[in-house]
Order: sequence, then structure tokens, then C-alpha cells
Amino acid sequence: MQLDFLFSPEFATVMPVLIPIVFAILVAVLSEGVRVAVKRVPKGLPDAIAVIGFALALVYTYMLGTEVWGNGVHTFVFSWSGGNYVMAADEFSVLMMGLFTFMGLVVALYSVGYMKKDTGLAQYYILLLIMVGAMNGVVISTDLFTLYMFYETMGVCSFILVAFRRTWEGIEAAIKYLMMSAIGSTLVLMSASYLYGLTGTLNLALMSQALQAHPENPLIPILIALLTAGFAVKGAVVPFAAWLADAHPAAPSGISAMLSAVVIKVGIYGIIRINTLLFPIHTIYFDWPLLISILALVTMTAGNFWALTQKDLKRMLAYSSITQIGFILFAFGTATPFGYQSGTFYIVVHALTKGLLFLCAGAFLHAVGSRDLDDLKGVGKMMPVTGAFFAIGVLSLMGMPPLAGFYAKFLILAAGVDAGINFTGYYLLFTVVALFNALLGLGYYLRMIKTVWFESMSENVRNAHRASSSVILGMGILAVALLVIGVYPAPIYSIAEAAGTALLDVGGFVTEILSAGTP
Amino acid sequence: MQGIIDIPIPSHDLMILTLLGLIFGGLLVMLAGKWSEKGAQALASLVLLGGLALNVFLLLGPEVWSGGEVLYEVVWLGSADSPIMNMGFRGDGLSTPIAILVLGLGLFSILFSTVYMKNLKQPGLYYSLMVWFVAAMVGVIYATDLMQFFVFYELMLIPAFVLVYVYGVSEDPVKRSKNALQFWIWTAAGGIVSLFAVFMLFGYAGTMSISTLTSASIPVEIAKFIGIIFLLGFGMKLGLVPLHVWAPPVYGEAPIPVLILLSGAMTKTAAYGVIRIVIPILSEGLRGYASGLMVISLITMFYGAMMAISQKDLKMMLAYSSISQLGYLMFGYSTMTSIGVNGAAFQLINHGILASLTFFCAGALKMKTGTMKFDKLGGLAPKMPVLATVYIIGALALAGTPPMSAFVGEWMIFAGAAERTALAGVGQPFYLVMTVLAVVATGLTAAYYLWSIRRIFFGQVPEGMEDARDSPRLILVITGLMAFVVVILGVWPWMLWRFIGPVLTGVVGGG
Repeated sequence: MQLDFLFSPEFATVMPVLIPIVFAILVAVLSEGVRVAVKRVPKGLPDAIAVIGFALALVYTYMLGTEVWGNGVHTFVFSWSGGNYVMAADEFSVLMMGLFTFMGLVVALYSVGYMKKDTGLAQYYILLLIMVGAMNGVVISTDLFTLYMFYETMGVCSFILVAFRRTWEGIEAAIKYLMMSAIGSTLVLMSASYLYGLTGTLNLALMSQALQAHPENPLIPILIALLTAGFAVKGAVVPFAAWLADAHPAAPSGISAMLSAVVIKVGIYGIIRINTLLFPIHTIYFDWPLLISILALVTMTAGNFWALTQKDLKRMLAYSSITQIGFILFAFGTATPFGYQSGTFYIVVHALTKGLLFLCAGAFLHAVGSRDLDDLKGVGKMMPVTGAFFAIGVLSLMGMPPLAGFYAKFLILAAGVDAGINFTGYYLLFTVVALFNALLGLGYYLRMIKTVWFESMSENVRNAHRASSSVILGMGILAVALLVIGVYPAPIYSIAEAAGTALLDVGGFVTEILSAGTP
Repeated sequence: MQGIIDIPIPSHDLMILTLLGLIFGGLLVMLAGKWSEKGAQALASLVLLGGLALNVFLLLGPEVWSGGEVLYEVVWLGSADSPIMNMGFRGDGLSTPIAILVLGLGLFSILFSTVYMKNLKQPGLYYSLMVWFVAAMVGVIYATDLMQFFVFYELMLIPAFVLVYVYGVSEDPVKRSKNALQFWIWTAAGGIVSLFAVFMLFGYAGTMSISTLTSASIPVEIAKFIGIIFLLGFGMKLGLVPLHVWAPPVYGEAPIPVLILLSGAMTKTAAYGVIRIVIPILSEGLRGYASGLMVISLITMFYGAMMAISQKDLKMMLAYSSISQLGYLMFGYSTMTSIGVNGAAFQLINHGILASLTFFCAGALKMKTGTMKFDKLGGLAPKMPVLATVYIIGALALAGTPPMSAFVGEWMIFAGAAERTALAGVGQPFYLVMTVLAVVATGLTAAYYLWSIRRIFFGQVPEGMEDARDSPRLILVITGLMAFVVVILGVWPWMLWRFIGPVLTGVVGGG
């Protein structure tokens, strides 16, 4: 297929950001325009535009990907009041963008059926599109200002989306989320201003050069702590994750899926990318991978124990997300190439898995009217297709072959032991803790499967209706993806491998940014 | 190279075809089951028969027949020059007979199910799960790569769990779920523990390919550590005492055909893992543990035998006997001598056949008399002459009577123990004591099997069983065939030895 006439290499980097935002404006203008003309918004108009927007953004991400895989880091420079601002995409950025946009597409498809009865759909899709655009922006920003701006845009969209249905639960959760995120953002901002004071620039590449040259600077531990804690709020790292268990269940299920699958990954992106880029892996005073791995262990253990006691399906899934974030950080905490590669793979797999599970939970909630596990007993018998997708998701989360989760978990644990044997001895012990957590998870994963499939049907479930076709389509895409990756993981893993390698290649990335800034 | 038969296609295609046939065949069975139970049964039997035939061709084909191996690998994960995982197929004198065993047991238990499992809910699901269960086990046996091994090893759990959960014999769903979940958690834990050992090997050698690892040099101290983790993991699946907690409840819970796959085939994959992975790669490190392993094996033997004696129910007696027999297997491994390991491999196949044979007899009894309780049975030999004969052959074989196959296996295992005693020297009575105790355990086995024969087939016929008759012809044919194999292997063990022997030569590193 020749798409070259659509593709301009100059703007390739920013297209995945621009397209969702342009389409958001399009949704706003068109639906308002039509409302003025015929007094009502036709059904399906905002949905259709959003789906097209995401699909187009995905195509552009793919084209950018071919470019990056062929020619290395791709940059875009814009000059403004004498300064050059660079947006740069390496393999890792492209992978993340692809993931965000793909999930956006799936959720938009799912929402066509799922949000049918809601009002204000134009706003919903506008926010969704802007959120994805902003996330794409975060991963290609190369100066702290731009990054912060996109980060906050994403945050604001997600606060509103959590409270989209204007139920008391949603508003409360959104306020909690807003408050905690604000504190997190303040910490990031504080760290950014320190960094500016220290290096005289906001450009990450220059900053990286300055800091890597002076690893003995006593301020570095404080900066790392501030940055990590700040991003950890959005990234759902315990002890900064108190908002998550309220916000995820309260949001409409499509949004829960977005939050859990990709929004928290942006926080992780912040932690990993900025720390890797700015600070030497082992500074004199402070070993930040160790900090991350300890946070990872705390996160996964706490998430597991919280999840074990839940009775609400979406809450259980939310806590399980915290556990999974722990596993992701665990992989990055190894600070080895293999760890980074497998961690990247885990990010992809977890996004697909948890997205699928929240979408399934949404379908159950829609059909049964409750997300209490006691009310959902035997729902798989009434909704076999959704139930099967749910089982696929849970088994993948559990790490059962032939689903993607098996390889993901296998690889990060292998990376943990590998790091323990060849680099940092304590990682062996950490891996044992992670293994223990993998086993502990069985406790509630099996309970979910048991409730959905093996219990006799509860009263509420008898009236359940099957999910609509767009809902099935959205879930089906993810379930098939999990199966395909689970049977033959090589293609996705090779992408993740390249992305993880690129993430560790700090020097190359810095050189590319700097050479782009000075024509 | 000369085989009994020539196959027109490359030999490795036989294995690929078997695996693909089972996986997609299972899918077809599931679909067929939607319309007709008969269709699902026929299709499932055909699928397994096809797999069996392909493996028999492989066994008789030029490579395996002449003691070589068929090896085919594709890179599955990672770059081509340093792959993280290969998907491979290894057919040699060890894996092919075990694959034939597993496929044969699968075929027989499906045939048995057609008469035994009445009023099945969702027959398509049942038969497709049986096929997939076999598929996963066959995948384990062909594996050339640790990661591939564990993909299939964990994969086994899903069909096994659902089969026990949905088709378990307890009426009470809570009890059923408890037993099934306990089984899942124990065996999953076993898998995860073994995985840790896999990761350690990967960390040290940078590869997961079994044949590369065999020649990799791992420091003895580390090998000891990895070996003990591996044995812990595999021990959970094997059900060695004290890691056997999950086994009796799930054996009691599973219906006979599923039980045959669990006890006759699934535990054998763990035993196969020990012989294929642990012993070749880590034999240097493990030699130091020989005595400890022997003690554990002996405890398992005695515990299983004692519990078997005390059971009031034929099925549970056989289940405990199965645990006890796996102790013999471990005993053979723990001698760390060539002949002992050979005997264990021999016994692996024997026990697979024999345990299934006796379980089939128990199932047939249950069908005709409605019970498996000893005190409700008796005097049935004149009523069911064929079944009685077959059961007695099986029981005598398990008790180690010549000329049945298990005699040969046990003889080799004890010979290995004797060799270990001789190697240890005159001043070391430990191994001698162990060997003598192991032989004593055989006496116990004979005791409970003979007693069970006495209680079921002789003595007074209880009321209400006057008109009991022999089982359906299908069951008699199945069990008769198995008994025939048992006798043949007992009379002429070379049939099996000629395949296994060459593979295991030197596997213990010249010990």
C-alpha cells in the first residue's frame, strides 16, 4: 500500500499528537454545528469521528515507526521566540504511542455500544481524543516544560473523564485523584525548577549531559526522589497510589480501561525515561534502580494483599493493576538491557490484558447492573462470549500459557534472576519476592474465574443480556491479540526489545536531540 | 540408517503433525460436541489414534530405531543468533516411547469414557479438554528448550483443572472446587518453583536450550542449589512425600478416565523432566544429594504403601499405590548410576501402563457393581473371569512378580542401588540399608495388592451381586491389550531397552 502521499517526514514525529487533537476539534465543531442546524446531535456522529481519528493516528504512528526503525531517532524542531524546541521519537516513544493510540481506538470502538445511553457523548470523545493526543505528546517531549504541559493536559482530561457520569462516587473519586495528582505534579515541578537552577536549561539532552558529567553532585538524590515520587502518583506506585482504587472503579469502564492500561503507564514512562536519561545508573550517593526495585516490591506486595480482600470486581482489578505496576518497575529496576526489554514487553502485555479485563467488567456491569462479585456469580453462563474473553484476560494476568502474560512474566522473572546472578546479587532475593507475589495473585485471579464461570447463577445474572456487537468487537480485538502474542510472541517481543534497547541508549538519544536543535 | 519402515516425509514432521493435529483436533471435537456426543467421541478417538500412529511411525522410522534422534528447532523468541526460546521437537529413544505411552493412555481413557461417563454435561467440552490435556503433555515430552518445556508444563494445568472441577465425582460443588483449587495451587507452585531454577540456569549459561545446557559448565555449588530447587518443583508435581498433599484429594475427586491421565501420564511428565533436564545438566551437583534423595524416596514408598494398606476403597488404594510407585522412580534416579536411572525410565513407562490398567479395572468394577468399597465387594472372580484375570496380572506386576514388566524395572533400580553400595565401599553401610529397605517396601506392595485381590475376587459374594457379569467388551479389550503389553515387556524387556538404553548411556556422567 502506498501511503507516501499522506506522509511528510518533516511532521512525522508530531502527527500522532496532532491528529487526535485535530479530530477532537472536529468532533466539537461538527457536533455543535449539526446541533445548531438540526437541533440535535445525530447518533453515532462523535463516535464515528473519534474512531476514524484514532485509526488515522494509528496509521501515522505506524508510518513513524517504519521511519524510526529504518533511520533511527526521528525529530521535529519548532522555533519560538529565539529558542529551538525539539520533539524526538525513538523506538520506545513509538512503541508507547502505538500502544496509547491502539488502546484509544479499542476503547472508542467499545464505547460506541457501551456509552449508547449516556448524554454528552461529544465531550466524552473530545476528552478521550485529547487525552490520547497529550499522552502521545508526553512520550516525544524532550524538554521538561513541554513534557509537563502535555502531562497536565492528560491529567485534566482524565479527571473529568473519571467523573463523566456525574455520580457522587465518580465525583468523589475524581476529586481525590485530582488532589493527589496535583501534589505529584508539584513535586515534578519542584524537581524541574531545581534542575533548571542546576543546569540552566530545560532541555533534557543538555541537562543529561550536564548531570551525567557530574555524578558527584549532592543534589542528585533529592532530584531523583522528587521526580520519582511525583511521577509515581500517576504511575500508581505504592505508597502514592491511594487514588487509584477509587478512580478506576468509579470511571465508566472504557475510561477505567484507559486509565489502567495506559494512563498509569505514562507515570511509569516519566519515572523510567527521565531517570534513565538524566541520572547515571549508579551515582555515587544514590542507586536509583535500587530505589525503583524496592518501590516495585512494596507495590506488588501491597497491591496483592489489597486485592485479595476485595468484593468489588473493578476494585479488585484496580488493585491488581497496582501489583502489575510493581512487576513492571521490578523489570526496570534490574537496570540491565534484558530487564529493560522484558519490562517494555510487560508494559505492552499488561496494557492489553488489563484493558481487556476492564472492558469485560464493564460489559458485566452493563448487563447485570452490579460489579459486586456476589452478584456476578455464574455470569459467564449467560454471557458466554464476554465470559470467555474475561477468562482469557485473567489467565493471561495469571501468567498461564498460551497467553501473552506467560511470556511477559517469564521474561521479567528471568531478567530478575539474570541481574541477580550477573550484576547485583540482591536481585535474586527480590526475584523470590516477585515469584511469591506471582503465586499470591492466584488467590484472587482464581476467585474471579470461579465466580464468573463455576458458580451457580445468582438472581441478578438471570436477567443479563448479551453484550452489543461493538462491545464484543472491542474486547475481541484485545483477546485475540493476547492469544496471538501468547502463541507466537516473537514479533511484538522484537519491537519491545528494540524499544528497551533504545531506552537504555542514552548517549545516542542525547546526540540526536542536540544535533536536531542546531541545524 | 535402517528402520523397520520407511516414511516418505521428514521424521520431524511427524512430531509437528502430532502436536498440531491434537491442538486443532481438540477444537474440532469441541465443535462436534455441540451437535452430537457420538461425533465428539469418534473424533477425539480418531485424533488420538492419528497421533499414536504418527509416533509409532517415528519409533519405527530409521533415526529412532537405530538409536539416533530427530531434532528440529525454530527460533521462537529473540534474535536468531542468540535466541531466548526455541520451539523444538526432539524424538529419540526416550521421548518417543513416552509420547506413545501418553497418547495411548489418552486414547484408551477416551474410549473408556465412551462407556464409563454417562450423562455427561457438555460432552464436547469434556472430550476436547481430554485431547488438549494430552496435547500439552506431548508438547512437554517433545520439548528441546526449557521455556518450551514450561509453556506446555503449565498449559497442562488448565484442562486438568477444568476436568476435575466440572466433572469431579463429589456431589458437593464446594468440595469439588476445594479439591480442584488445591490441586491447581500446589502444581502451579511446583511449576513456579521449577521456573526459578530455569531462570538460574539461564542466568549462568545464557541459554535455555537443553542440549546446550547439558554441555555447559556450571559450578558444582551452584548446580547443587539449582538441582535442589528443580527437584522441589518437580517433586510437587510428582507428589513425593511430604509434597504430596494435593494428590490424594484430587485423585479421589477425578473421574477414572481423568484420573488415568493425571496419575498415569501427568506425573510422568515431571519424572520425564527429572530425567531429561535435571540429571543430564546437574548430575555433578546432584551426586552429593544421592543419600538424601534416597531417604525421601523411601519415605514416599513406605508412606504410600502404608496408606494403601489402610484404605477401604479400591480407588484410593490405587491412588496411594501410585504415590508409592513414584517413590521407586525417585529411588532409581537417586542411585545416580546408569542402570538405576535406566531402571527408573523403564519403570516410568511400566507404571504408566500398570497404574492405568488397575484404574481401568477399578472403573469397570464400579460400573458393574456400583461401588469400589472393599467390604461391599467379594467373590467376583467366577462372575467376571476376564476382568479378574487382567486385574490379577496388573496387581502381580505392580508387586514386582516376574515375568511381568515391573519386575525388570525394579530389578534394575535395585541393581543400581546395589552398585551404589558397592561404589561407596565396605565401610559405608548406609546404601546397603537403603537397598534392603527398598526391597522390603516391595513386600508391602505385594501385601496390599494380594489382599485387594483376595477381598474383591474371592470369598463370599455379597448380596445383590449375584448377577454381576463381565464388563463391556470395549473395556475388556483395552485392559487385555495393556496386560498383553505388560507381559511382553516382562518377557522380552529388550524391546524397550533397545530404545531407552542408548539415550541414557552416560547420562549420569560416568557414574
